[in-house]
Amino acid sequence: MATLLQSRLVKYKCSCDEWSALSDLFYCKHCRALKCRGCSSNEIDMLFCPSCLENSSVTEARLKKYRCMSCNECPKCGRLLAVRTANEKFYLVCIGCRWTTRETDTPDQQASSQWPMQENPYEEEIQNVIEKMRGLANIEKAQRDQRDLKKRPMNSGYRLTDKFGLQQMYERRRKTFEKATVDVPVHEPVDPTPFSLDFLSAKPRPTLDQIMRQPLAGDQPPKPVHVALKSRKSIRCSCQHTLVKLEYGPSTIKYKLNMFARNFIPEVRLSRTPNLKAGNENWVMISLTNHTSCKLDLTLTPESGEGLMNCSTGEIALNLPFAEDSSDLLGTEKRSDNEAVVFRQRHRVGIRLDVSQVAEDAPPLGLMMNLRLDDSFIQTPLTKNEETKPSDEPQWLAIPVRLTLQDS
Amino acid sequence: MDLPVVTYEKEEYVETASGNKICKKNTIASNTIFGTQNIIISGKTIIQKDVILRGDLAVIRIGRYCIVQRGTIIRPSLKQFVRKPTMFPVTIGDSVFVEEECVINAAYIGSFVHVGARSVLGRACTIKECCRVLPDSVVSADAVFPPFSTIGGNPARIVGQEPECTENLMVEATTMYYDNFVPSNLPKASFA
Repeated sequence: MATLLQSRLVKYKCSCDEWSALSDLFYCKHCRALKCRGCSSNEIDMLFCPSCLENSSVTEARLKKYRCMSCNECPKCGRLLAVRTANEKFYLVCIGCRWTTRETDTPDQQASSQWPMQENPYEEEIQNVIEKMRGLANIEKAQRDQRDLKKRPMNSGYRLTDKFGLQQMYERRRKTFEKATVDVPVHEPVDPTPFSLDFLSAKPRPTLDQIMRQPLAGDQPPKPVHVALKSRKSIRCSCQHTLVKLEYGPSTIKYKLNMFARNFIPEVRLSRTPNLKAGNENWVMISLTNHTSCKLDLTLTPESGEGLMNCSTGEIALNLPFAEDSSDLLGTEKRSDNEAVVFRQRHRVGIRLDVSQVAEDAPPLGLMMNLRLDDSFIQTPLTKNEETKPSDEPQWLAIPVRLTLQDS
Repeated sequence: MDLPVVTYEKEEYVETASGNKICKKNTIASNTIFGTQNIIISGKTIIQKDVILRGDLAVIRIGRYCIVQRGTIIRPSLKQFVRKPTMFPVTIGDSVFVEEECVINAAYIGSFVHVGARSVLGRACTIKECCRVLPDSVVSADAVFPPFSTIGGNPARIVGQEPECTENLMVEATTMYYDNFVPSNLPKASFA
């Protein structure tokens, strides 16, 4: 879990120059770059109800205003309402705050679902306005068409036979030309801005949460709130290749396709909480774990500069075996690859970095990870014209990493 | 951050053949695990001190690599039906991390779930896979939460989304915790 391992302390630089934790990043093997949610596109895969886990199609969801018709929330506290029966009729009860539909004017229902929704008091007015706007749009369109038609007078003639239903179309169009205005009631002016001292009265006013749950209820008695649908998203890179896609089903956690960055890039983690003292020579223990499925060649170079911790350790070249690599089973002994390497344990390497701290507040520690890319897992050609033959020159990927040493 | 080495007194814990480490010497009572024949633990699970398991009420199933920390109560829930009251069994998936002093009355906790300290999971609630319950949350009874949700508040609601690779992170964290949970009389490892 991201919080158990505190992966937020180590940030990697995404290809869009944003810093994110490795658990939030993806790797596009076609762009050979790290991608975050900000620089990739999210697509809605599926809509489902979070409480009954029923999925619904987009058209169905749109018709039902993106709400589940069988699950209801308490308008007071937002808990899920339980269905109770009495005299072969159903009513709803909140098991948290004991609110029931019997307190309100909602009668007991014959069916356990399809509870009445809070009606919009301005529904008629809005419909009228929409109608009027449609009429205006029609008139505008007709005027535009008329201008075009004037240039082509042949088109405005009648057809004697109506074999293809053209006559009807012409008639309809003629009607729009004739109708210059749409009769709708003039919008009534509302009362002058109400300024009342209602808030002084003893009547409990709805909280902000309750208002947001039923924004149009006003002073009407509350009605059960249909549970809003949730969506599940798949992530697509800007090069149109899918990075993450779950299998179909609201409760599945299996992936059709996943391109988590941690499966391609080794994970840098603080091994212990650094004990930094101002002015002294200090050290920071980090561990590097290879979660990928192949051996990795990489170099780790501490960066120093403006706003970064000063680190005296030089470049560390490493060869990281992968987790299931049996060739390195007895590899717990220290190898002579670098002085900074403290321990090796299968696919994990412990590194000690010497840092000096001058100020009280520790700036982040900067590292530059240079990683030799292994393209052997790419089976499809990158483009149709490009040949699949791998180039002799090894590809290197440079990823800047920042470690937060003091938890603020 | 790598998880630190946690030591325990070897006399206080029983290690079963399947690798479960269960604390037998408790401070609150002489016995805190009831109805052992109703408790099924798959293996490599750590049950720490003062954890109360009420297997005498209904079956409790716990998966592999679960960590239940100090002072947590796992208690099957009771539901009153028209004919008779029924106890609901508790099912907990694999790689579940339950922190200190939680009260778990849930009917189902999916795999790779992290329950924060002092949380209360209400009667017969369902928490699907890869969720995280924030510390001090109170999940109301019969609530259902879909996979990958961050749950928090009182009453608990979905307050965010967990990362997509939660399964991998959770497996790594629980395995690391189990590997670093060692008897205190063993020589300490040179690294954490």
